[in-house]
Amino acid sequence: MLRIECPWCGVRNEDEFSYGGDATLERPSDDDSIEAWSRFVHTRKNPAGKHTEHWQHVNGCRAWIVVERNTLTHEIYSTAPASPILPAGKKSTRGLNT
Amino acid sequence: MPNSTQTAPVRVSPLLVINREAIVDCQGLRLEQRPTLTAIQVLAFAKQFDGVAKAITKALGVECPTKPGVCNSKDSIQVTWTGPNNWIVICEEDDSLLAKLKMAVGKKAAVVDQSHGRCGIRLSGVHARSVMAKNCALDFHPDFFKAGNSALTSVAHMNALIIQVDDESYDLFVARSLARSFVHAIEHSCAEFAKA
Amino acid sequence: MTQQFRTAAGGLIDRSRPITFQFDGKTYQGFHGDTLASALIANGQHLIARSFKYHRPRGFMTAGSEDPNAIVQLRTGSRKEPNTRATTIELFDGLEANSQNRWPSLAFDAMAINNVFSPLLSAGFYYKTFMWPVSFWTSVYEVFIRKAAGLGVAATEADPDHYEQCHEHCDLLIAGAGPAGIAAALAAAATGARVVIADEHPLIGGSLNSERLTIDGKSGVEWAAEQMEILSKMDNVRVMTRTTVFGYYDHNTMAAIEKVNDHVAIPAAGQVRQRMWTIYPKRVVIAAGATERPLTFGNNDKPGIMLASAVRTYINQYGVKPGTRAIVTTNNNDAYRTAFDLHNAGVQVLAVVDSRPNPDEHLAAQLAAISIRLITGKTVGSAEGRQHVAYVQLVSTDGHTSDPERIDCDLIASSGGWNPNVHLHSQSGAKPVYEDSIASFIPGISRQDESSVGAAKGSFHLQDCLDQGHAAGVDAAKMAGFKVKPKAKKVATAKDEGTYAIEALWVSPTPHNKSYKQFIDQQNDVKVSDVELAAQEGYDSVELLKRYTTQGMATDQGKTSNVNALAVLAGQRGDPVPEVGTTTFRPPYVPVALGVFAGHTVGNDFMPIRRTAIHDWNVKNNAVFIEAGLWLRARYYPQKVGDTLDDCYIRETNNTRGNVALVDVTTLGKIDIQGPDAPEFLNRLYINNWLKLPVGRARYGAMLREDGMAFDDGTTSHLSENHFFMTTTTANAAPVLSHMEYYHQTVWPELDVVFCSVTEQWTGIAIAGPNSRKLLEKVLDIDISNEAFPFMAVGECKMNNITGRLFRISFSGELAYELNVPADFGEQAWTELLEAGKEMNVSSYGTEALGTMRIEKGHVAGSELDGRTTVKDLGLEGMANRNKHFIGKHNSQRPGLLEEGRLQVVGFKSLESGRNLRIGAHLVDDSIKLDSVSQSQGHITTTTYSPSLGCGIALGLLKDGASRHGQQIDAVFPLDDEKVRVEICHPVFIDPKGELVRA
Repeated sequence: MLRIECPWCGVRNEDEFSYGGDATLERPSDDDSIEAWSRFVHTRKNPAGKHTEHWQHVNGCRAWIVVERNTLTHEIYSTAPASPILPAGKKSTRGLNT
Repeated sequence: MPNSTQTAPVRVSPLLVINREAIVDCQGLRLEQRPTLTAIQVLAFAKQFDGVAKAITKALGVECPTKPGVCNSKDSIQVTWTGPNNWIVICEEDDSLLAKLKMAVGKKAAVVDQSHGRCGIRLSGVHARSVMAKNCALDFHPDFFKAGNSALTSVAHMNALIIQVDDESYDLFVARSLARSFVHAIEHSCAEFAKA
Repeated sequence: MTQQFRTAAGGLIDRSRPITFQFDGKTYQGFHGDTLASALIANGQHLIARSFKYHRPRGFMTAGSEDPNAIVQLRTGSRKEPNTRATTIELFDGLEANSQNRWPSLAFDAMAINNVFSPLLSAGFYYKTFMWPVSFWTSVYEVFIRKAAGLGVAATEADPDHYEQCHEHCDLLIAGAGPAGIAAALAAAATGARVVIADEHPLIGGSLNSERLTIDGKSGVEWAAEQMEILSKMDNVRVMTRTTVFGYYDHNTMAAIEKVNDHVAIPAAGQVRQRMWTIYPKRVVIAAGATERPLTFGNNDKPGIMLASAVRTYINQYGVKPGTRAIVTTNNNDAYRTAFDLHNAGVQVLAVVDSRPNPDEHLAAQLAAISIRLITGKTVGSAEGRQHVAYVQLVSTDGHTSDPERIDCDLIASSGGWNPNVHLHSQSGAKPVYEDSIASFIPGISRQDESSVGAAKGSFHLQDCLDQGHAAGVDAAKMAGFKVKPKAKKVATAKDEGTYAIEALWVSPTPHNKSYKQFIDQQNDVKVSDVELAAQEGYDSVELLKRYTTQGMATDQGKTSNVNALAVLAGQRGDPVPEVGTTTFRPPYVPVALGVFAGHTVGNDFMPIRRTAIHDWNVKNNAVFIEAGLWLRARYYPQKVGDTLDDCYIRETNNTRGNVALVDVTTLGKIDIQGPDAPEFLNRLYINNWLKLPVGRARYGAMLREDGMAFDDGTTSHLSENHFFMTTTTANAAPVLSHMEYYHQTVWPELDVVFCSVTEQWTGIAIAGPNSRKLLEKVLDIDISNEAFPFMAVGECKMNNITGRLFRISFSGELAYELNVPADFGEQAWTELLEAGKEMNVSSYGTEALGTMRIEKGHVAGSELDGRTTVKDLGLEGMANRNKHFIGKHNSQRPGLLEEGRLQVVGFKSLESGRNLRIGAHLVDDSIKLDSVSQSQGHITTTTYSPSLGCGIALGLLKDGASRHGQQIDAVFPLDDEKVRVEICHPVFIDPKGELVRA
């Protein structure tokens, strides 16, 4: 069971969250090619180590957050709000597993 | 067209079939349904968060919390942070609250009636914290969760809003459709305290 | 029997509280404080079980949860519990236990013939023996294996007891309440830190209760009891006895099992039997002690052969003598204590056999002082005797085995050294490392917030345990932010017990170098020769060895045997032990009943149930329900005894199509959307246009996933300026909301829009049929004529003072409306509509009739939106506006999705009178080859009998289906050898122009 710190609600169990995939991808624009869009949806790095990913605090405040996690050790380096405009999310850098 | 001599409709709680005085009532533990409620969700539009909080505070005379995990209350009104851009205002049935809040926030926020969508129960007594610990992974130690604290979390595997009312009481709000399953689960975990 | 093996006095049993119990039908007496094992030993009953494979007689090897042999069937009836350790069962009045894995009786077990045929049952025998012929699997092999290798028998009735789960948070969790754990708890608790200390025994103290030790001038037992008193009075400490910390998971999430009421016959009313704890400590101190390992000699599995420490536990803690004439065999200093304790209890110690040529002089002198013979440089080569050890043969450890010395005895106390309990440390993700000085594994570098102390760290000196525990407690408190006063309570002082020293002896030579059964894993009957054979056959990595021989894979997880097996493997490979490594320990540390994981969520409480406001009415009106996710929905309404599903949905469909009927559609997802950018947001979510939807109108919309596949559909209404109301399918209510939140928060934060679920706020009632307007006109306060309230109109209305929203939308294809009212008025609105429509014979209909009518109308739903279909496949491409951006726009145009040969939605009509179609049936051109599913052209997704058409109809996905209307094909269901000829048609079976809904 991972313990993930929601920037708003604090540390909660993994089962309050749902996973949303790689948070570093840049979404193509409407003018981009089908190939670019296909890569955006289908091509993933699958790193062994640090991974920046989206999670949603779906059973809590429903905010989407960005989590930096080690895929090998499950160490979580930081969590932060995904939305640049939602107020009062405090970026957390507290390692839960250090 | 129908004639207009009908009587006012009566709200029927989802817990009707277990509508006893208290669901659990034993030494050190009480579980009861909260009376019919008005519950209004207020969602601030972009960059209006602080303005909406001020407007709610002014309209209700209760400090609208801008920090997560806080519920401020006065008389029967509870104003609770429920997300980065929204709150829920809960009070005993008051048909004027919706209009009052709409008036207060104007075009700064959406105001949505959830009164019929939430069911409230209150768990109180010296064993209340133990019952909470059986159903919820949060830390209810008084150093970390006390009167005026709230949380949106999973309780008995169902999404719930928890508001701690005083040292020994918790208000729990769940989706209407889940109300009976929820109360059943809480009741079950009260069993060890309900000594014959 | 009269407990003739009780010591005269002593032990932590209460001799004033006798307890009567039964084993294998025979009645015995023990005392309060006994385990089943100690009480049986007190009565001279050592034979407790038959072994797993060879059915050899087995006795008690240990006095704790590590025992491989003492597995019994506990209790009877619905509380029957197989494979329970007699060494951990606290004795209670009326306890009933039975031996298992024997026939007809424990003393005479016919299956012991396996012992003779043991060469056939060597390592990997399952893989080698039970290969072919295939037909033998069910008829011969499985029957044989089940009978021979049977463990206990599970109860067939439901467990009547309560199990539950609980959560706890703390600064420090201490696993194990021996001297090290207690010292850690005292030190941390004194700072104010929140401490949880858990121990599997009913008393705290660990080894203090089973050894004769002295701390601060008091006996270890007294000292432990005093600390228990102190700790349990502190508000910031939770002392959990009968609680085993069994799992170490990510981010310091710990699992523990509390045996709340296992020590009584039946828990009191309302009380729980066992409780599962999830504990979230900031730091963990593992003070789990160490487990002794036996020496490995011939016939080392006989009853009467025990671990040296277990012998001390039985004497000191339980006041029982495990024998009358004892041999102590060891390779280390620790076992000498057993000789002293046996002697002290009045048991004759015939010899201490120390495999080391030069044992500790001080200990040798102590033995000499009480005239106990010390034999050095020798070890037990074999144990002899039928159902109990009768004598031993001693051999020299230098390999001289031709003239073994025989000593008659009835007890062998064996010690091969101590293994620190590194299980939790290993579970935390860390790797234990081999330590030569103790010839075993100790904790390695920590991966999580944990540290091991005392024997669990390989420190077997009592003062070290106390010191390390204290230091770890102080550290944990500091790390959690507590101040440690300079005058922190001084750590307790233990009386010196001498030092621990060992010279590893992994396998003893056998008398005359003959072949003997030398057991390593006694629970799975794995012998030295099995490990050797596995290594010879190439299974020489530790992970392969484990799987090939089943070493360490029994319910004791090899607690007493794993290190011995590793060492034997290392010997075979000619490598040092650390190069062989160790397997990863996995939770649970002790067996945990599945029931406690489930807790309350069993039977009807397996999942929460969602009920609509119409639920009670449905129950009162005999609705038959169907699960839709967590929802219970009315499927159909029998009107009289004997009404079948078919009778009901056909009647309900006919009344809708010909008259008017109501259905509860509360379960559809409902989302309230507001804000100046709401139309633009909808425009990007949906494939069709949303910028110009007028207020007071609804529109049907379809949305895609980012990969271009169809995701969900529904109607969204424009309620007032910048205020919209979306409906989703029942199944996708939650995913659609998350989807919208994802795009709003991470992709388009610039859009000023807010939204929330209002699914629970509203009860939805669809009123469908040609007479629906007539019915609603009776009860609503607004003009709903076709001119004033046309198809797709939306407006607020009142029905008998209930304010609701009315939508002129139709799922059935008939003239229809959906009325939403606040949920607390839901049942009232429903019954008032039924009352108002009574004179026109209004009825209710369930999801079955709803489904029938949607198929007749060709509306796609979940079975067609299967995540692999595009809107083009579904015939909805015409809706898409490709001049704007929407989610999934580009990926839906990937070449593969536009090519010929895609499965497309079509309708099917059964051409065979009276024969309906089957969901999942394959569509094949040439049905003569019924097994040729590879030639499938597609499949049927949903079927019904159409009362309107008078035949079986279906929707399905067919290769290039849109261009094949009018053709015929076979719908086959090879499992049941079924075949129906069907005509391919347009998916809209009735009213293709949609005139009815606009009437």
